[in-house]
Amino acid sequence: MTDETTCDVLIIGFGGAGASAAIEAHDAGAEVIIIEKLDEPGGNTRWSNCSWFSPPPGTEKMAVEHIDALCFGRTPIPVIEAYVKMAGETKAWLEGFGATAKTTHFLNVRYPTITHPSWPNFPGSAAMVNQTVMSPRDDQPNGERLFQLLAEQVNKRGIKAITGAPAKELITNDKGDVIGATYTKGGQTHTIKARRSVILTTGGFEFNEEMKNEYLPIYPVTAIGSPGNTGDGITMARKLGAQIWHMGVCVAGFGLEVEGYPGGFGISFPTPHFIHVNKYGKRFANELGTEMHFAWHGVAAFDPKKPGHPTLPSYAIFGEEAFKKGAVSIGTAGTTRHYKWSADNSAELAKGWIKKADSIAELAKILKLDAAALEKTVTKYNEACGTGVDGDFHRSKDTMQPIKGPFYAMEMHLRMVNTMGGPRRDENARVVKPDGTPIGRLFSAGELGSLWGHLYCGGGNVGEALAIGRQAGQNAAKEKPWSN
Amino acid sequence: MNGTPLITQQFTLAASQFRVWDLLATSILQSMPVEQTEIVNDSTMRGILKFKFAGITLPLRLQVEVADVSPMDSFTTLVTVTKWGTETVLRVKYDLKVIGDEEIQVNCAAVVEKAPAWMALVTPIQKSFAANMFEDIRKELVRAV
Repeated sequence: MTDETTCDVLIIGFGGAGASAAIEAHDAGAEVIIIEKLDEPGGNTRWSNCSWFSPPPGTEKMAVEHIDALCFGRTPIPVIEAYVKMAGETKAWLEGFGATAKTTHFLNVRYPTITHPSWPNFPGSAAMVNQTVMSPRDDQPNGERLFQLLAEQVNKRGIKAITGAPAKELITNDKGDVIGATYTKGGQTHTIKARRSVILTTGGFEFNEEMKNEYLPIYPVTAIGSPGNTGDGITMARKLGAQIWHMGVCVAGFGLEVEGYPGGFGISFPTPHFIHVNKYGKRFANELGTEMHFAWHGVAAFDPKKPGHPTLPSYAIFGEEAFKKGAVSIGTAGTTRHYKWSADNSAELAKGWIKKADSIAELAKILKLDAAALEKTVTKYNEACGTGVDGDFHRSKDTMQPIKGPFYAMEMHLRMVNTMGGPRRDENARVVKPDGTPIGRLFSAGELGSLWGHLYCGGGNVGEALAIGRQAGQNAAKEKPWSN
Repeated sequence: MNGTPLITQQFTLAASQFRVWDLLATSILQSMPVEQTEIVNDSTMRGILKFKFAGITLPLRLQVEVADVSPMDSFTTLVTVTKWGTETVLRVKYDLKVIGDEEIQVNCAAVVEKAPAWMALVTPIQKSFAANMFEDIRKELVRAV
């Protein structure tokens, strides 16, 4: 049994992109319905650090040049230009809702750190300016504040949002145009027909193990964001012949996985007195070679003589300096961010999350690593600190600080923030087929089929949710209603 | 005491502006006698400052907030120190000035934004502490560049 409802624009997914699309489609005169898989809306926007790209006026060309360089030619210029144009208007749009936006300035005092821009040496990086929405409450992270602002606007407009309602299938007409979708709620299947268009804003596939294993360059990798991100939009769009792109692109850094805290904790040290070693007790990369979001690039290597990744798990080995200087985790994003990591790391040491030993040999025994190999690695690294030259991995001189006892360690895993893959969209936010022609009346926005084709710049996905969400909403509302 | 300059200090480094800018924030933190640091949000950090004078170490609650950033040119922080129910706020600015090819002048200035009246009695100690800190920052930058 199915019942049937109609609207002008149906939006599948109620995160930052879905909310932005709904507001704009409504304001363009469309009757909008949102369906959301989870009981609680917000998507990854809610769990994010809430930093969004918004280029200052006059820097648009530089921004396009920069994003193009990061995409390695995998994203057409008009798609990038559309994003930059819409992103330039995001700040004023949000401030129109009473938001207080301010330019994001990260305190770059961690190892590894989060920087803006993420890739300062790429051309045009000066245009990659991010904004954030400040929360008036200490206990409300900025990402939650941003989604709250958007959700308030959705509610204020009387837009119908059905939560706990996973979409199952897109409905097409004889021409192949998308005219609605089915979803389930309360054990029943329901149908919503959309007279103008459907917008997919279902996020990435961080919680779809099969897709992650198939498409990502390295696996396993845990995820820290919305558990609703299981690639539903990818599955639905693929059935209609959409081109799927950017499936191998993701953002993942090192983190600590512990029982009872799904997604774990991002690890970033307060001093550079640390190294990472693999299962053989050896360093395998410049630990600080990339910004915090991109540690996976250094981990993805494999051993030609043995199966599997020797770096999963790997181990952070650090000394008393790093331990005393401050919390070794920064909990600003993700589902465990409400956990208060102790400033002196004592609580986590007591829980056994951090291991401690008086000697490297003893630490190796606790970690079940080859003691001789680990001792050799630490000795060699400490000697290199004396000269400031890391002959093995070219870690920069300023970060070469020796590891002195007592010694500490944590088992490190990859911890993913977001994926970029999904149905390809064009410069009008329409979902397209491999030949570049659009699938009629189907739009997408946000993390699903994101434009980032190879490297990602921090703030890019929330930026895209807000910018392309608005664009998709505007364009979806412009479609002429179909008739039977 | 609002707006009272506490100390200014300058030094030069043989490095590019980009390199010095890149290292400035981390060098400041690494040079500070601070422990138990934690990130409050994107632009704010808290910790315990180990304030040393006359052979005594006094732990003070410290908050460092980025007040203004002009990339490659200047970096300003608001440093708040709390002890015994009183609060002292310093505005600490680091200006980078290009004075030659691969030669940068770093101008450090600390201005008292807010302090209890009795703090005037310990101004010489504050000055000495700030001077030592700026010197440690210089040393760390020299090592790092």
